[in-house]
Amino acid sequence: MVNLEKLWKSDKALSSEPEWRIRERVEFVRLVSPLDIDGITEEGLLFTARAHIYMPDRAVAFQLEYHSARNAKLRGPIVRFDWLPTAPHNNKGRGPKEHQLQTITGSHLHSFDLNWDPSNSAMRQPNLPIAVPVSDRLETFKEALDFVEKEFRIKGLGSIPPPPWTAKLL
Amino acid sequence: MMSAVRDSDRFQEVVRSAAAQLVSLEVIGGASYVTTPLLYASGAYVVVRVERSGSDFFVSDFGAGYEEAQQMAGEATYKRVARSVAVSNGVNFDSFSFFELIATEGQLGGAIAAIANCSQEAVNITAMKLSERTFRDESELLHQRLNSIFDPRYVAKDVHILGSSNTEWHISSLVTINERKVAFESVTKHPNSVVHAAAKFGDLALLDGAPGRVAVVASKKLLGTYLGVLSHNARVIEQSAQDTVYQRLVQDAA
Repeated sequence: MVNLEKLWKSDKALSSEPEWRIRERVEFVRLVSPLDIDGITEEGLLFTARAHIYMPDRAVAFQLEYHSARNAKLRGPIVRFDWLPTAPHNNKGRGPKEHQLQTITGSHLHSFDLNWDPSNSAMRQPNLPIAVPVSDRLETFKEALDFVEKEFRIKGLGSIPPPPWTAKLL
Repeated sequence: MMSAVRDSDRFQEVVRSAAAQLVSLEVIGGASYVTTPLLYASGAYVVVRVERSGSDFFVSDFGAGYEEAQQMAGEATYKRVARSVAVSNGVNFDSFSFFELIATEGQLGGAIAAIANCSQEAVNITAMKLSERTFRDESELLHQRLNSIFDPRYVAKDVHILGSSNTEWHISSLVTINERKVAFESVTKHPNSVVHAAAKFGDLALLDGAPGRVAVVASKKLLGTYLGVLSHNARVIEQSAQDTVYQRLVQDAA
């Protein structure tokens, strides 16, 4: 069985030069890239980012994902950083005591460590439910990328272009 | 007396303040985004967008529910679920990603609540269905494991056995060696999984010449008191058990 903990702790690099893709009639844009570890593109390991085209300079979700071909328990995000999101987060009664039942309104990190379930050798479900606020003032997309590059241990994120944000006249 | 009144006032003030924080509004790019008190399964709050539509209002989840599902690798499931949730709630799902509704001014509050509920319901049902898929995969993994331990000719998949109550039970994997039969079932920590397996094992145990019964779980510790529910009528092992443990279970079967 794949060792998610090992993948998470390894130094990683983008395997490609990903581009933001716009899908028909969908306001969210997505960017996906496989990842290398020691020069080898790892099976099932992806870096993804998602933004909303009408929300410039905010609301980008960065994820490290693992998708096992054989085991559904090992399919989905293993860490997520929500940069200046529109939707706040609530851990309900889970996670660190000081962050339980609190509305986390700014940037927050669904960290690997808090969402790793060692007894099940898988991530907690559903969808990394525990997050902690990020106190760094990350005001630009570049600052957010720099944070993710360090936090996710992925080299080369600085080359990613900003999302194709646009203004919408309503 | 005065103190009691003051305490009561303070109590009401705190509750009023908390209640007022449950809904908030933000305007982005000319559209209004309402953060509701509803939570998706992940813990993210449900946000609904309101836009002008002539003299009426266009209310949608702007595809946020779909994105939640996509983060869980469940977008195909979500689209199927969303259509049925939309129909049962009398709102529209646009086949791409939006729950949506046109409302008059008098309907706006109700429309925001309805769209938020639909988006949340569809995401949460999707999360539940993904968890069931995990169970099916675990049954498949268990079957593969048994095939690697025993001669595959002795390992049958998806067998049906009549229990003592005449209920026909589905058995994920049945190992049969020299008249010794052992039913292996993958069981998760979810109460439904435990209770279903316990009922099945109990009914099989009452048969004359009952097959051996083994529940295979990720972690006994994680089951808590449910471990006792399972062990009434079955032996319980962890997925990580050595091959020799599986072999012994079959050898021990009467």
